[in-house]
Amino acid sequence: MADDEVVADDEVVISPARGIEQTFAKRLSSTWPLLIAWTRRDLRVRYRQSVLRSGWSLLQPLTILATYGWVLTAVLDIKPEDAPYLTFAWAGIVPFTFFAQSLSQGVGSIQQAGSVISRIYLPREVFPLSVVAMSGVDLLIMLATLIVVAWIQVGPPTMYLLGLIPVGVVLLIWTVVVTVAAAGLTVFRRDLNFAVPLAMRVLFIVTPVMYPASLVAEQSEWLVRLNPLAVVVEGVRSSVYRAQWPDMQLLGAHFVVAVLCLLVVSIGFRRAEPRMSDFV
Amino acid sequence: MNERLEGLSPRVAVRLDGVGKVFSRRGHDGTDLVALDRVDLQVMEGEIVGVVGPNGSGKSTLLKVVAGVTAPTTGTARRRGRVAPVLELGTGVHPDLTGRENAALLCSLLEEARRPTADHVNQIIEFAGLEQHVDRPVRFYSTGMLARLAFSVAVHSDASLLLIDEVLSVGDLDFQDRGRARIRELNSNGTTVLLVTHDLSLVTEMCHSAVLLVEGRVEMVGDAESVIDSYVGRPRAITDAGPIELRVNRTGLSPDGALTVHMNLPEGAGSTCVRFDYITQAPALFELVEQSSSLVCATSTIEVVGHGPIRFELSTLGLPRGTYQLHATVEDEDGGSSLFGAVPFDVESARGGYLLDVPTSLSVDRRAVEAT
Repeated sequence: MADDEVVADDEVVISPARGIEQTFAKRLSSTWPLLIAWTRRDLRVRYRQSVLRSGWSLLQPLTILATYGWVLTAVLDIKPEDAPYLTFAWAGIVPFTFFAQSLSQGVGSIQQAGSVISRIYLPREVFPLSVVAMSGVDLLIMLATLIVVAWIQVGPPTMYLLGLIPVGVVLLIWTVVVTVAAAGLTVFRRDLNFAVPLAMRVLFIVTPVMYPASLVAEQSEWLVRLNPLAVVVEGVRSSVYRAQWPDMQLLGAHFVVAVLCLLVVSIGFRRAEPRMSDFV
Repeated sequence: MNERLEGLSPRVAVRLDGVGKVFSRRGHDGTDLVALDRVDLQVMEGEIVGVVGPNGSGKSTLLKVVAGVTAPTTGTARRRGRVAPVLELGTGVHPDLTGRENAALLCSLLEEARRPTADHVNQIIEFAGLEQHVDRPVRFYSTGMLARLAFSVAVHSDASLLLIDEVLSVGDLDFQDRGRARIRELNSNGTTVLLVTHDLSLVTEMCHSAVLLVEGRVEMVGDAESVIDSYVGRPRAITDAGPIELRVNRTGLSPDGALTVHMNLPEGAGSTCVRFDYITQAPALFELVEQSSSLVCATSTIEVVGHGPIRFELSTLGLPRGTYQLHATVEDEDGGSSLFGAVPFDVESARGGYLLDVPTSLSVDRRAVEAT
């Protein structure tokens, strides 16, 4: 039907299947500036009315590091072979925190923006994406601290640091996929609000963040190879202090799967979007 | 190719073709809610169109479909240009952000994030009359202030289509005047306006034409006056305002010194009477007075024997829109009389401006007295 239609440039068509009809390019171009505006709002609001303000974004991971680190090194006597425990564990916590924070804050983001999305049309992925963007700001800060810590404990950064780029891409795509999907589903069914915290705890245990991947028994190695976060964490360690490239083959496979998932989630999200405001 | 699928003809701002919206309520009572039922509508550029109808007739859903916020279940909506919905209270605002930050954010959302200039934001704030509060978090704002801010943002956007859902009536009188003036100004520059409201005098005053929605269907489209006449002519369901209780203590009135008046607006279509129940033990006189204290009607003094309510009936509610008060005058024991407080009530949706057409009378239902 679109072929025969005469649609002027400034004409907006709202149809049952897609809500506001728009081309992918147009949608993307309107998403960007809105994403920036909404992220700016999130960043502004985040620590208002709190005493420690941005101290919280470091205090949380530092507390995890201190408690788990103490239990694992002093109580369980785990010693990574390749670096002091602080560098080792921090290299795991930094990417994991990015994912965990994006997902746990993003899962309810569309639902919480209910007053906006039931009045103004905005591409709804703006809300989870802005949570990811906000965590991304934290990620950059924490990454800087990681590089400093590794420099002090292991040695200056090498060219292998560039390995962080492919690792970061895989981490970003996965985080976007999972956060956007979770936020979209939560609009219709609130179960994920409860499931996500639980899932994060499980994921934290099965991912070699606080313990070395080399401790994982051979018959359980698939756990580390299939888990994108484990691949990312290992990739960060290789790039930051092991002076070696990440396992590119494994990373490539995860990249392909991530992109496919991104495609599926995009299509599903676009289909569900026209009905979202009826549920918030 | 079906004719309906063609794009908008020139000078058409909005067109709905067979738009239906059904909210499925699986998991609730199982029945689907039909909010809009095959609505066809065309709005020309530069028009101000009023959308009227009883609660739940689909007026807000209509605006949401046009805004693109929700997709229709059937049919297609088309519009031209940028749309600015005038937002309901508190929308888009974050309680911890200041008035200025909220205004800027709302601008960004409406204008697809072109960041507003400081000048633009100042204009908005000035129009909203919030200069003194602009750097306080909106948490401290009253609902009226929030509404003014949201309204102000929308009427300062460069949108060619303004969607207003009952927001104009929230501000104080001064702001309402400015709001109306601003809408007229935008309209004279070519902005199209869709105005949802229960304030029928606003529709006659501002709108070129009006649409009457009833149970999701377009019952009538036409010039504002005739649509409103047809709407007002319908049997109205008066919403229950809840009992309003007035208790005044004065010595000498009655053994317990109290007079209670209940006002109940009975529900149900076709019912057009208002009942006031009062309890007093002294002879009383009731007057229905308009806000400007012109007497509408009064009863003769009623002698009440013993305790009990008297049902008090306005045979029809053909009152002009406005605020009314029910006064009670009660005789003192020594023969003097004293005016007793008043029960104010608003008549919201009735004929506007037909002051001569007041078929109201007060009558006392004696049976109610005797029964108690």
